Amino acid sequence: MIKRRNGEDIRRGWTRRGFGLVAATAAAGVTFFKTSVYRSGSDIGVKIADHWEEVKDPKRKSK
Amino acid sequence: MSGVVRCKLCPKECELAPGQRGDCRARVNLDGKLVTLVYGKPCAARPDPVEKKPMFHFLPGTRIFSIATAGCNLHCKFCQNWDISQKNPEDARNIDMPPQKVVQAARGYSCLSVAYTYSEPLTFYEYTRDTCVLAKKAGLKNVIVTAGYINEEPLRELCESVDGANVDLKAFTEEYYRDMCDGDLATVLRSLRIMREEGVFIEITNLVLPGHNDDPTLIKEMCEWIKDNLGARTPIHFSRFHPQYRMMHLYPTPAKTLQTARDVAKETGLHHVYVGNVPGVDEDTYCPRCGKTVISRIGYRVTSYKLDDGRCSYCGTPIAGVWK
Repeated sequence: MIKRRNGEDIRRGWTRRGFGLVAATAAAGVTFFKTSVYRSGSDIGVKIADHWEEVKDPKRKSK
Repeated sequence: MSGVVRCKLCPKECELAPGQRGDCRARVNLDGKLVTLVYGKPCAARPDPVEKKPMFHFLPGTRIFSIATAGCNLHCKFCQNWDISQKNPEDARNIDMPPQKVVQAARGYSCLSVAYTYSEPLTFYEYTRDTCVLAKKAGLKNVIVTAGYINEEPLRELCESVDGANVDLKAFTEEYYRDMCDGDLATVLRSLRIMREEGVFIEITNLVLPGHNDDPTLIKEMCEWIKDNLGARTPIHFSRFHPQYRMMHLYPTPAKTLQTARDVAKETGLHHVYVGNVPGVDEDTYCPRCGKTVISRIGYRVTSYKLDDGRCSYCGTPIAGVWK
């Protein structure tokens, strides 16, 4: 065990920083996901369109 | 019941099985009903100078609140806004802005008009039409910046609340429209005639691509059609092409090509001919009778205005446009 002069385990600080780094990365990932993938998907404005008709006997495929 | 629907908005008339999406990317068959995906969700919304549209004869020197959504029913290889026009609505960064909010924002920015622009306003038809109606009630004018690729019935309905249009007449051959844009010229010419009949003030933009649509003979033919069908007072803008989208290998339009197009249009008898995307060149408006400069511009800025109630301040000749 590597100790500081005050007797504290020197690795303890790094462990805390490591957890902090992982937590920050996860938070950034969630934020990125929400603002890019999730957010854009929820940002469409669905409304029944005008100027269309039902096709009883479909022949032609869409382009 | 097959659940298949046919969109009647544009001449492509896509037949869509449930779950299928139209060629414009913005209309989907959702459980046997056709829905738009972009109502009240623009991916661009900001105030612009009206000269940027370009509209040079429409409330010059004022600001116009401009909106666009993702999608387009044409697929021009040279599209200058392809990053939104050739994108699915769910892949764009959209904001929530129903028609009421557009009108509020336009007033908040002291705009006198609203533009439906950047991509293709006829693709976000319902949003455009409802916003136009509200804007008109609020005393704002409406401008569509469009390729004019739409069926007759929806266009006439829209024209009831549209004051001005800048129509992109891309070339004057069917081959060009078919090969470069996935559309057809006849529909665009019909739309121009309809807008004229419905009293919409029209300006034309022609994006000149070197080696593709810069043949002076075809430009002359196009200008003659404009003169005969829309009138010699219809402003036309020959815009410079910058390499974009699938035409990155092409060089920007040389200034000389644009000058040739301008000269051909003037020889044909069109009164108001402009060169676009080249700041400082052919941006001024001249009186067709006395030849004096009635509106001077530098870029999008109006530097002098010599019109009284839409008439030349020097000789009193009426100048075509929407001036108040």
